[in-house]
Formats: sequence, C-alpha cells, structure tokens
Amino acid sequence: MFQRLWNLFRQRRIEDEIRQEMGSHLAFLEEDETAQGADPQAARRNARARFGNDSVYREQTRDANLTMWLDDLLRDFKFAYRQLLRNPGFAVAGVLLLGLGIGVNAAIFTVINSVILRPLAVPDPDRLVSVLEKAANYETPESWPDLVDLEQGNRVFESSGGFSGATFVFRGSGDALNIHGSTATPGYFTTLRVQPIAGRLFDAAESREGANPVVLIREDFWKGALNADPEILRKTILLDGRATQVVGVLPGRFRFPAGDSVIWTPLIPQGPQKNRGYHAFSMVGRLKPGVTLAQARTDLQIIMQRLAGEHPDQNKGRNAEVVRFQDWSLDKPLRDRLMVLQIASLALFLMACANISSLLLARHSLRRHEFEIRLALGSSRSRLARQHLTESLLLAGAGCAAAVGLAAAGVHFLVRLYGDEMPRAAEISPDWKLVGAVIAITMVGAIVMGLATVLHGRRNAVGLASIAGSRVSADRSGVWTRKLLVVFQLTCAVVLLTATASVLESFRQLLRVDVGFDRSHLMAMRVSVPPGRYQTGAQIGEKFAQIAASVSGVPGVRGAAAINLMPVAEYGFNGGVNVEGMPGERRDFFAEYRWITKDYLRTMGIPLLRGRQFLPEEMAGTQKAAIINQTMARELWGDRDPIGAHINMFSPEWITVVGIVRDVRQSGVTAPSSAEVFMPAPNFVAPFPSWSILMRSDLPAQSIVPAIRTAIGAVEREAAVDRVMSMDDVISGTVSAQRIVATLLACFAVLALLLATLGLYSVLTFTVTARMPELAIRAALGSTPRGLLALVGREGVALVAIGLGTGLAAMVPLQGVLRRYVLDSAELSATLCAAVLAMLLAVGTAAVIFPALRAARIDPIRILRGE
Amino acid sequence: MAKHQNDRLQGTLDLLILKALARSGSLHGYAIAQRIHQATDGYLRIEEGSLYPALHRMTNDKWLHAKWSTTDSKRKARFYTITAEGARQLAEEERRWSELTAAVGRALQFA
Repeated sequence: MFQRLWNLFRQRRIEDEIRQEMGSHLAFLEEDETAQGADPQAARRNARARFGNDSVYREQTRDANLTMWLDDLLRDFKFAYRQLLRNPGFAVAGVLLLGLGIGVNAAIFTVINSVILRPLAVPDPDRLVSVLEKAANYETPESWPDLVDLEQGNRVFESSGGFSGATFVFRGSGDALNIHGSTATPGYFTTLRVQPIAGRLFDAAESREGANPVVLIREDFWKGALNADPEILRKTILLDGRATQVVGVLPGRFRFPAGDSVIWTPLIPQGPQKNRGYHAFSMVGRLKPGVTLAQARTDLQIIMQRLAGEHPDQNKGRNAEVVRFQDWSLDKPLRDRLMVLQIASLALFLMACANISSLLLARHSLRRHEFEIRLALGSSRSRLARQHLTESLLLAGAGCAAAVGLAAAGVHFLVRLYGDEMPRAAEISPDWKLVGAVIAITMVGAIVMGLATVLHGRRNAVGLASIAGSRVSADRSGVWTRKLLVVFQLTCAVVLLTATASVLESFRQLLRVDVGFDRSHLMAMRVSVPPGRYQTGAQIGEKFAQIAASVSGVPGVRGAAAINLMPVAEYGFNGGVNVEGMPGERRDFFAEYRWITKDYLRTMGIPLLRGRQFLPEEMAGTQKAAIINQTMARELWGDRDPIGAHINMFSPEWITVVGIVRDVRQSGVTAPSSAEVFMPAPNFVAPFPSWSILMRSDLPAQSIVPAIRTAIGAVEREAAVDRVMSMDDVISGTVSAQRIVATLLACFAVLALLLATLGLYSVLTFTVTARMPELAIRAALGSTPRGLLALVGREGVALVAIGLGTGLAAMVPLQGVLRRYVLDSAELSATLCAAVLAMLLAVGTAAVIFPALRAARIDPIRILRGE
Repeated sequence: MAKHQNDRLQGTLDLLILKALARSGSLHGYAIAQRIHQATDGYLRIEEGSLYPALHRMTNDKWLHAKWSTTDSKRKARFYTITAEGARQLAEEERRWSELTAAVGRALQFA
C-alpha cells in the first residue's frame, strides 16, 4: 500500500520504466522474428502484431503500480471541477448554501464553546466553587461575619476568599473616570491561583483597617489608562480621591469577578458592612482534592445552622448553597439563549442541506443520459458512484472554505453584538478544533449527499432504453424525495418565522410596556462621587441632593432628581421590612429599598395615590418618613390603610409611612413590580457612591449635557459622570440580550423563508420541465392553459399547505421552549399565525406561479416534435 | 487495487511466474513468457497484457525483486528474481493448486 502511495509521487518515472520494459519486450519479439528468417520490416510488423495494444498494457501495468483509486480520484476531481464550471449557477448556489448553513452554525458554536464549554482561564477550575447564602426563596452573598465564620469553620476548602464588585473613581490626566473592579481578601487571589506579572499581591497587614491604601491593577488598564508606565510599582494613582499605592499588575486574562474588572483593592469592611445582616460579600473556595460538591455543601450548611442558632435575629432561616464557580460566573439565561440560537441555526443548516440535495437530484436527472452512456461504454457502477462522491466532495470543500470565512466574520459580529452581555467575551476565538469539526461535518455531509444520489441513481437505473425514449417520458424520478424535502423546508420556515414573529411581537410590547412613569424627554446618567471623601451613607445622600438641586438650576431643565439605583435597569438593593404591630409571619417581608431626592416623584411623573409627599424637614433628614408603592400597600396591609403605620428595616428605629405611589417597573420590564420603599436621600445607609441622576428637558441631549456636567462639577469636582442616555435607551438596554436573540432569530427566519421559497420554486420548475411531454399531450388533446395552470398550481399549493400544517403543528410544543429560554412573554397569537401563514402563502404562490405559467404557455407542437 | 474477475486464473498466472523464476533464478519479462510457453509444450501462452501488470503487482507486494540489467545480446531489460516472501507464496500457491486439481479430478471421476 505504502509502496503504491509512494509510486504516486514518481508516476512519471514509473511510466518511463514501463515504456522501456515494453520496448525491450518488443525488441525480443523482433529478434525472434528475425531469427526465424523474416526481413527487418516484416519482423517489426509481426512483433507489433504479436504484442498487441501496448498503450492498454502500459495503462494496466501502471495501475498495478498505483493505488488506482487515488489516481482516479485526481482525474475525478479534474472532471468534477469541469462539470461544476459548466454549470456555475448550481456551483455558486451549492457553495453559498453550504457556506451559510455551516458558517452560521460554526459561529454560534464558537461562542458557545468559548463561553460555556471551555474551562475558565484559571488553573484547576473544576475545584473552584462559589458559596451563596440561601434565604427563604432568594440567594444572597455572605455578610462579613458569616464569611469569616465560614472561612474559619469549614473543613472542605484548601483556600477560600471573599470579594465584592465595586466601582472606583479614577482620576488620571483627564476627566474623572468610573472604573470597575472589586475589593478582595488576600485569599481570593490564592484561591483563584493568579500570579501578578509584576510586583506582588496584598499582604494580610494591608487588608486591615487603617492600613495605607494599596491597589492591584490589570495589565490592560496599566497599558491603557497608565500608558504602560514602567515605574508604576513605585507610584501612587488617584483612586476615589486618595493617593493609592500600586503594588502589583495582574495578567490581562484575569477577568474576575467580571470581564471589566481592572482594579482590586483589599476588602476592608466599613461601618454597617460589618453587620451580620449586611449581605454584600461573595465567597469563592477551592475544594480540597477529593472533596465533592455535596460534601462541601453539607459541611458549610452545618456551620450556617450553628450561626442561625447563635444569631437568630440575622441568620434564622439562612442556609448555605455551594455551586461550581463556572456555573455561577455564567449567566444562565445567556446560555439558554445561545442554545436556542444554535438550534435555530441547525434548522437552517438542515434546510440548506435539503436544498442542496434537491439541487443535486435535479442535476442528476438532467445528467442521466451522460451516466447511461458511460455505463453503456463499460464504466462500472462503483466508478460512477465515485464520480458522484467526488463532485459532492468538491462542492463541499468549496462550501467549507466559504463556511470558515463566514464563521470567522460571524464570531466577530456576535462578539461585537454580545460583548457586554457575555462574561467571557475576550476569550472567544475560533480554534483549530473547530475548523477541524467544520471540515469533518462538511465531508460527512458531502458523502451523505453523494450517496443519496448514488442510491437514487441505482434504483432508477434503466439502461440505454431510456435514452431512446427520453423524449416521450422524461425522468420524473426523485420527485417524491424532492417534494418531501420541500415540505421539510416549509415546516422549518414556518417554525422559525412564527417563533421569530412571536418573539418580536412580545418584544415590541415589552418596550412599550407602561413602566409606571413618564419616559418622554427623560434623560439618565450615572454619577459617582469619590467614596474616600464621603464615608457614610448620609453624607453621600446629602451630596446627591445638592447635585440634583444644582442640575435642576441648569437653564432648559424642567426637573432633575437623584435616586440610588437606576429605575428599571438596576435593582437588588433590598431586604426585609417589619411592620409595628403586625403578626410575626410578616416579619421578613421582602422589599426593594430606594433613596430619593426631593423632586424625584415629580420629575419622573410618578403619581401619588394616597397620603402626601415628603415634608422639607423629612427631606432634610431630621425627621424619618417613608413612601411605599401600591404593591407593598396591597400585599402588607390589604384593605387597611397603611398611612401612618410604622415600619423598620435595617435598624430598630420606626419610620412612619406617609404616602402611597403608583407602581414602577423597578426590577426590569419583564418582571412585575415588587414592593418598594422610598426614603429621603439623607437617610441613605450604605457607602455606595454611585447614584443615578434623572432629568427632564426638551433640549436635545448633546446641547444640554455639557452644562449638566458643569453643574455637577460645581458641587463635587471629583465626580465622574457616565452612561448618559435617554430613559428609552436605558429601558431597551435592559432587554438587549433578548433583543440580540430576537434580531438573530429574525435574520435566520428571513433566510429560512428564502431557502424554503427557493426549494419550492426549484422543485416545481423541475416538475414542469420533466412533465413537459405529458403537458404537451394534454394540451394537444384539448387542455386549456387555465387547466394546465391549475394542474401545476394545485401541486405547488398542496405542498405549501402540507408544509404550513406541519409547521404550525410543530409550533405547539416548541412554544413552551421559546417562552422558557428566550422571552417569558412570547405568545403565539392567532393574528401572528395568520400573518405568518399569509406571508408564506404569498411567497409560496409566487414560487408556484412562475412554473405554472410556464406550463400554461406550453406549445404542444414544438414539444412533441422534440424541438 | 485492481482485482481480476477470476481469482483462480489470477492465482495460476502468479503461480506460473513464481515457479519459472524459482527454477531459473533471474529472468526478464519476455523470457518468463517464453519459459512458460516452452514448459507447457506451447499449450499456455502468457498475454503481455496480463504478464506485466502481474509482474509489477508482485514486485510491489515484495514477492519479486526487479533490477535493470543487460542480456547476453547487450540489450537492456528488467530482470526479475524471486524473494523469500515470494518463495513462501509459491509454496502456498502450489499447495492450493494441487488441492484444487485433486478436488476437480475427484469431481470429474465421481460426479
């Protein structure tokens, strides 16, 4: 075998050798003839006659030397290439279909592979776990004392650490910048096993209260914002208004807790952060070798049960939950959405394959004469089968190249679209495994397609007879297969279109949903003040009250206010509410907490339903008061009047409820409003220095934003302003992931529609061509053009009807999947179905009408004469 | 790989070539054909169209060894010799051949 393969590379030499050998044989024959007395000329002639056809011998001998199939393969490829060139339309269609089908799949798979399947970019990621605290029906991070107890009490972790995502205000050479990062204990870095590329990590002394401020920065931040300053380890940077010593640079691939984390400072809890009821610190642990997730869970739950006994006020009902770090750091909805896209793209791939098979079958029918002649001339069936395979392999190869290109472009596009939504966007890249997979899949596809044609050809082998008779009854074989393929494609198209339509429709409704406030001409921005300068929540709240007042004074601003979290987009600052005199089971009523400045309700256009607004003395923080929303009033008090009731939250001090406002969709547009308590800004309790400023103005954003920045800077020079956008954009930003899926699904649906139409059109055109003689006879016997039109039209419409029927039937079970993975509110309405059906019918009719018209315009004389 | 339709005849040709070479050492193609022709009293004539493919196939299978050399008449020709592998093959083919002929003989007698 190897000998023969090797011979392939020295083919020329072998052929020379064979020629020489044959030559010497001929010479011996000639000698023989001469010896027997023939004259030289006769001797040569006789020798030649005795020897026979030397070129045939040469070829046979050569075949003994070469792996013949390989040699034939080369010739087949040349032939297939010429065949494809002869029919460029088919070749281009095939390559594009394959490229599209495989490319789209490969692109989405690359993203899934990088984001979900590939392990985290840290050593030994399998042993990393996240520890959460589980209350009745929600999960929270640990409180600082819980974290310390869990770290010290557990027997399952090799090492563990705590961290809390944070935003910092950095002032370099230009404007103050908001940058993201985290506070972390030294154990955090050892657990994740990250080594600084320069400098060192924090030590325990630097993580104590009162230590000099130190910071770790990420490589790209050092190279970007700090211009790769080589002396950086001897310098301080201005962080949150404090000169902070840079002690180390972490590698750029270290992206925890988030992709945009570029700064890490020691985790040193301040003030209320030290309370056992203040849950803000996440815990990561590295399991000892051999310890399972379940063992870790049991161990930590024992500690939590002990803590619940020791601190019933804060820890009653709390338990520990342990999950794999990788699962925790991934957004589950994102994974689900990617899966939906993958399924949709697979459907598209199958449709493309169906179309190609259909094209191949049609082509095979058209080339039937060629194959029959080749058979008649002595070509073996296996040889013909090989020819089919080669052609589809060649087609697939070209399609493959197109697919790889398209996949690369697609990945790029997806990352750009999805970059902010994906936790590991930076790690996304196609790898060689993927390219290999694409090639393997294509080749398998090509072989299957080729074999299908071969089997088909075998079943319908008739021999030469059909050449003679071909004029009367053209080959209609394969029509049934092709019809099935068309129905399949139509089904896929219906499913994709209906799914997309329902997602888009519910998406449109989502964006127009009544969020509970007036969003017109409303602008939002995030403002951060340096936390070093404002230690307590009250100081921060008062500062934002001043900032809001200053912004209100800008000419053209109709109203401005501040709130600690951006409405709709940000939520999760929440906890229990107790009502004075209310029975015990209501003790841990769960509500969102918000702190607002004086004009907030007026600026947002949130109507007061009962009671009153905050009084000036309440707004100033000297007297405590709270305004609650409808949902909270209804759920806690029912028919009774909450006005004047006393509630408390994080401290025993009672606060009077003074008003009830209309519900706002504070937790995103897809979630219903939950209970919410508003309190005056100066009563703010947490040291979170980033608030949202909302303001309403009729002026265009670009003309008013500079004045607003100036107004904010006048109150706090170090304030960083970012995420300046209209409230509409804020709202649509909260569903950007759903929007991307919807957009991609829409692209897929349009492609699916195109493919199905193309399939329908080509199968009907083929049928009409194949039935030409029959139609001509019908016309000659008196069929009217209208009758012929109806004949062909009926066939097409029947196909469309079956396809639509199966598609709609398939939608029924698929709807649950959609609702679960893409959009909760995705609804399959009758109007939508009708619209999709109407569209498909219209497009389908268009695809039917042209072949049908051709049938109607038939000229029987010409066809029957065989012109 | 090219396989003859009739494996028995194919085997026979291989057997004849191997036997001729085992007897006479080194022969070129024409001489092999001549030798078989004479040995069978002119009964078997080897077609060149079968001979050379067979020689090349057996060379590639390492049953034969081929070498360019000159004849007594100073003509260049490709000479074949049998290898150890080829000798083993010959023994095997001879055994199979006698079994076959014996079987056919019995069948002709008693059938």
